[in-house]
Amino acid sequence: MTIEHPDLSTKIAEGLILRNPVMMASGTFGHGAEYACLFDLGKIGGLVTKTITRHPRAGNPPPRTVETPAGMLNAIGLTNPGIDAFIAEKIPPLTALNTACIVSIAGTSDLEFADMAARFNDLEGIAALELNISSPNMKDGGMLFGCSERAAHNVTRVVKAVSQLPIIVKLTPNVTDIAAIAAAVEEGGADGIALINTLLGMAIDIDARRPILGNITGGLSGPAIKPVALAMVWKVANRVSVPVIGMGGIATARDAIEFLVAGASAIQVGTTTFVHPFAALEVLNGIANYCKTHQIDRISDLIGNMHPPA
Amino acid sequence: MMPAIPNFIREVAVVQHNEPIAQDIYLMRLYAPRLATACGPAQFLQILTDSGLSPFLRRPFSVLRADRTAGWLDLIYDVIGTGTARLSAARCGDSRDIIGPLGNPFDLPKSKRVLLVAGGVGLVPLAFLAWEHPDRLSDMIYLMGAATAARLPDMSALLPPDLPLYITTDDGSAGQRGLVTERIAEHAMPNHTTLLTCGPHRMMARVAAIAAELNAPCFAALENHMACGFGACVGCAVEYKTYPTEDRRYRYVCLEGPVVNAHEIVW
Ligand SMILES: Cc1cc2nc3c(=O)[nH]c(=O)nc-3n(C[C@H](O)[C@H](O)[C@H](O)COP(=O)(O)OP(=O)(O)OC[C@H]3O[C@@H](n4cnc5c(N)ncnc54)[C@H](O)[C@@H]3O)c2cc1C
Ligand SMILES: Cc1cc2nc3c(=O)[nH]c(=O)nc-3n(C[C@H](O)[C@H](O)[C@H](O)COP(=O)(O)O)c2cc1C
Repeated sequence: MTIEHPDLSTKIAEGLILRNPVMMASGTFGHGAEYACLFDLGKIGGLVTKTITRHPRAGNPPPRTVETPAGMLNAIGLTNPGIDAFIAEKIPPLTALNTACIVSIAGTSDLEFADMAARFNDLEGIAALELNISSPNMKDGGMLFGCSERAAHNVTRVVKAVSQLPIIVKLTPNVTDIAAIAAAVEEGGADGIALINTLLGMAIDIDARRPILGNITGGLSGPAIKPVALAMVWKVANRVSVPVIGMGGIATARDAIEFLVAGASAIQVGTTTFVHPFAALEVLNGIANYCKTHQIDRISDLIGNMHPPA
Repeated sequence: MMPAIPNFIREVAVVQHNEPIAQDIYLMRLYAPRLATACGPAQFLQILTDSGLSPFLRRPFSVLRADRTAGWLDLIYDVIGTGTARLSAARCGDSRDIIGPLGNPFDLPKSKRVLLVAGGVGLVPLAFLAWEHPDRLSDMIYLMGAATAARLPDMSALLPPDLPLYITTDDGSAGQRGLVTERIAEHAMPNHTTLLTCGPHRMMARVAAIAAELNAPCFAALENHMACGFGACVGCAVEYKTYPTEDRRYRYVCLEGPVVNAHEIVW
């Protein structure tokens, strides 16, 4: 007997249930709505918009990307129109989409994070906020918050105090003990935890003896980082009780299922979209087929359901 | 405002022909009926050169010409690294996963004289433009620059027969000796010339500077590195001299180009 319609719905944060666990990662799918021409966004579980900041940011000088084995480095530098223009121009088309829209924000201080978060309280159609405390490409904030338990805890607490939306905190892998940061964030009141952002990396042109990226260093993403991301997701999922959203190099349904089994309640597809724009749909179909062939009625039965080593 | 994301398609194309036409330069014919109908001059395709992960990203190539009825399109590529080496190894009957068309096409200017200034494989989008406008060939002059005769394909096979063509090579082994940019002034008609260019970055920068001296409009098809090709990675940034807001300082070759107003960007 096969299952016709596995229940793929999944809770990704306190108060937020998605129709399925496949999401688009921040910074890899623009502000969301502009890609409605690519495929029916109503099919996926949700999307996270490109991180916005208080003020518009031009981003880093080029070159901003460089290919690496099975992945790429980016030093985009959080180019974005700023929160005012985002709210005025990007929110209306976003709220018309039939999918969960999560807005990613980054600030340079606890207060700025909180002020930005509060702006979304009165707006319709936003499912949650994702706090980007993990960008390696923002010198005046970003990863600085994500590298210290105390800073990560504080920013979460301050945002939770003012925001009426579910708060997902996105962690950086560039730390010694990511589970400790996750625990601090959970204690700060996070409703969900997303990981991983990119790994700090670098490439050098040996003929010119110059760094290839205009910003010298950048963030590594793509299939190359998947095993690292998977281990981190597994560690964090074992440490915290809030839902965990896993990402890092997911290219296929098999990759996604590994993350679910490791304990992720949902997954995000990032860099793979650059190469295979329709990959998220293929990942989703693959997950549904896996559930059918393995007689899994509910995706929640798969999440964190890993057998001990043989 | 950023321009809209193009409504591109994905098509698995079949290689019909793939042969060298000069040293390290190949011509590839692909059977891709949907793309062939949709492509314009300077628009580009993002080709998965290998089905594994090496190289990981797609590679962008512009189109030389397309036969919409027969369903094929031609590319010319220079073998400079892993991706283009993978392409050169493709045999007839092999298939390649492609997305496109991406970017904005060259518009043919209305001016009395249109100088098409090409360097190396930059010849491709300018040739397509000429193929698309058989009625305007008498207004166009094609200036082709190559390093040396060995790197110069037989241009008569690539351009419409009635298009005036002037060739230069750096070493004088074919055509005139020197740089293609040195030939611009003699063919420019004061106040009636528009320059369109594609080639190595430094060559295009020089064309833009000469156009500025001539007070002539100039449009360039840029070939910057890019990851996605459809505006999602915002990697292929080009800096503008003036911008209304900070987030418009850099714009994206894939979305707003590859054809840009050469006088507006920082070269
Ligand atoms: C819109 C557009 C249209 C293009 N059209 C054509 C075309 O019609 N024919 C053609 O031959 N090429 C074209 N190119 C360039 C082509 O995409 C690159 O040559 C190709 O991606 C190289 O891939 P590779 O894996 O062989 O080289 P890689 O291994 O990626 O690179 C080899 C070396 O070349 C350098 N390099 C690679 N790409 C570029 C680049 N874009 N600019 C400057 N240096 C670079 C690298 O830094 C490296 O040193 C176009 C590029 C763009 C953006
Ligand atoms: C070009 C690029 C831009 C990114 N921009 C952001 C961003 O603005 N905010 C953010 O939280 N993460 C950003 N990321 C990180 C991704 O969301 C994701 O965490 C990371 O790339 C790992 O997943 P992947 O390997 O599937 O891409 C970006 C990644 C890339 C490649």
